[in-house]
Amino acid sequence: MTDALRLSGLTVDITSRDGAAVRVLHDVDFRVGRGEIVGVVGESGSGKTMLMRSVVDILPERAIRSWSACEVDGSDRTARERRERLPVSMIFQDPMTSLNPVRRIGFHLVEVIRRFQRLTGQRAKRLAIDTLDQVGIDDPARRYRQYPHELSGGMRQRVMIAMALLARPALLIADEPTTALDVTVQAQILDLITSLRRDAGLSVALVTHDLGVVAGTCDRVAVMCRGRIVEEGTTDEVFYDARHPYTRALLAAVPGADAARPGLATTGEPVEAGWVDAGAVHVRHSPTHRSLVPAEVAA
Amino acid sequence: MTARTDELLRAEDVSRHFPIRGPFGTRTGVLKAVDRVTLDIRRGETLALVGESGSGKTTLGRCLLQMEPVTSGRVRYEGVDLTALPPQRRRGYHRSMQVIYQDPFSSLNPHRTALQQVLEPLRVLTTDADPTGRALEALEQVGITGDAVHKYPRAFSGGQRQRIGIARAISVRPAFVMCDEPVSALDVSIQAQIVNLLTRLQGELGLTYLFISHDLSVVRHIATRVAVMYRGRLLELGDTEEVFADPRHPYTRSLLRAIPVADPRRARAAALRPSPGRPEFDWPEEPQPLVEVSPGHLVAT
Repeated sequence: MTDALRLSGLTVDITSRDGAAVRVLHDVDFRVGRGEIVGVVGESGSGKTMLMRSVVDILPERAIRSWSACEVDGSDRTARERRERLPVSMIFQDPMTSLNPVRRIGFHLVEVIRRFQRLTGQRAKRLAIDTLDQVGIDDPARRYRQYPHELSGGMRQRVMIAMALLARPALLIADEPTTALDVTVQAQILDLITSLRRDAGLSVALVTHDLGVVAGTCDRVAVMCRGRIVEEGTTDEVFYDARHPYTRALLAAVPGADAARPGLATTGEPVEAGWVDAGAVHVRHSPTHRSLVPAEVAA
Repeated sequence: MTARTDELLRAEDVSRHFPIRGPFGTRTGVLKAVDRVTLDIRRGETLALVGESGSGKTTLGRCLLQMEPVTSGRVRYEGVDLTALPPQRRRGYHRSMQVIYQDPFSSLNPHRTALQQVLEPLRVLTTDADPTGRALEALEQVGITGDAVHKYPRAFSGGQRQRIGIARAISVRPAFVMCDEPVSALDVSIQAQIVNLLTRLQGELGLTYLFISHDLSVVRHIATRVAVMYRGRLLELGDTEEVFADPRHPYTRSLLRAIPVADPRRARAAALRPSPGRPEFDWPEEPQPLVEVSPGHLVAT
């Protein structure tokens, strides 16, 4: 079976105005299997958003991207994009700024339908309302006529997901989709993503900084630090058998993991250079589990 | 609730209403942002105020600090009714009650150095003979030392900016600090550092915190007691461990169930249980006094 996304050797440099280049992604390999939900975790600045933006080609202006291969849904991404549109949808953290405030909800949905499904008029409207219903919006016919400001944050994020689905993606990239939402609404949105995977076979790359979200939702996890994937494995492997010191520090920093503990562990101490920098190499612990180790340890 | 000797701050039947205006400025209704809330904050404790966005937790906090006028009810600080004081006399209390804001990016003036940020409240609120010395001391207490004190906010990371915000709050030696979502704009690892810093300062300076947050795992870690708000009303109040272990109000239960557990096996086990959906509970016209279900554990009926 082909993967929804297969990326290898992705490197991104950002050049500053004076011409100096900063490498923000170092030789990253990343894969999302079909029907799989893969979590990408790391702190801000670790490169998780850059990784996702590379796939849909919305990097900042001065970024230079190179990769040895990128396949989407089984065929080369660049060739595919030249031939037809890319079957990838992306949703963002902030549902408040992602919708046009002077257009009704229906307008946003029909715009996507006309572009990607060649339906118009009443048939487009019916599909839009059905999709709103599918993502769990009550009274979809009324919502269809409303403006974004009339909807709550959770409802708007559902509309974003509906728009993403109407483009019939092979891969949905969700960049911190629940970070701006309340915990109860977050639970509903994660339920929705899980059920879309189960019922529609959706493949998802879920970027988050919340390990609780990963534990309950993802099949596999990639942990990023300073532009590299430092550990990757099934959710159980990463949570119960973490090998990289950064992953361990991240897990220890989760509050509530052990309520009796007097102080929270922090990852304030930077991970020793040898574990993340150029010399480190990936070692496999199982067919699905790999992590970076310093070259001298691997040898 | 009887007055306790260790009580620092007390809200008595506090309401804050906002008019809802129609298209021509006509009053079409009233939004009860805070609806008859009574609670006390004890000296040296951390009282967490939790609830969804729009539940009124920040508005209640602002009413306690007199940053917002109350529509009805009283706020007492060490027994003195602040709402009855004329504005000039109320100012004296601003030194004792300080705030740490959520967003360290917008709460600092980009044109002032770290030291200048901390000097400002000292100059306005105190007659300290050596405000610079005091400001440097406050910055040192949060771990900002050396040349860093002369840098501008843009040179600092989110966590360091939040440290400057904390230094500014503690510089005037307050007794009470309202922390309004102090870590929710920060990364998990930085969150832990800031939470640990707040805990350490509380011990060193004998501070009392009102900790406003929607992140229940942080709350469980830091709070002595928890108050749960929903649609402007207080629904449950009790010791943190008791509320987490034995939540009595259906809304509190649904809130606690929604916390993602950072443990895949437990998360899978939880997913097998049927989803409870929206909790159902009575919503009386007017909020009723809370009922004490066990010592210190109060629940709305």
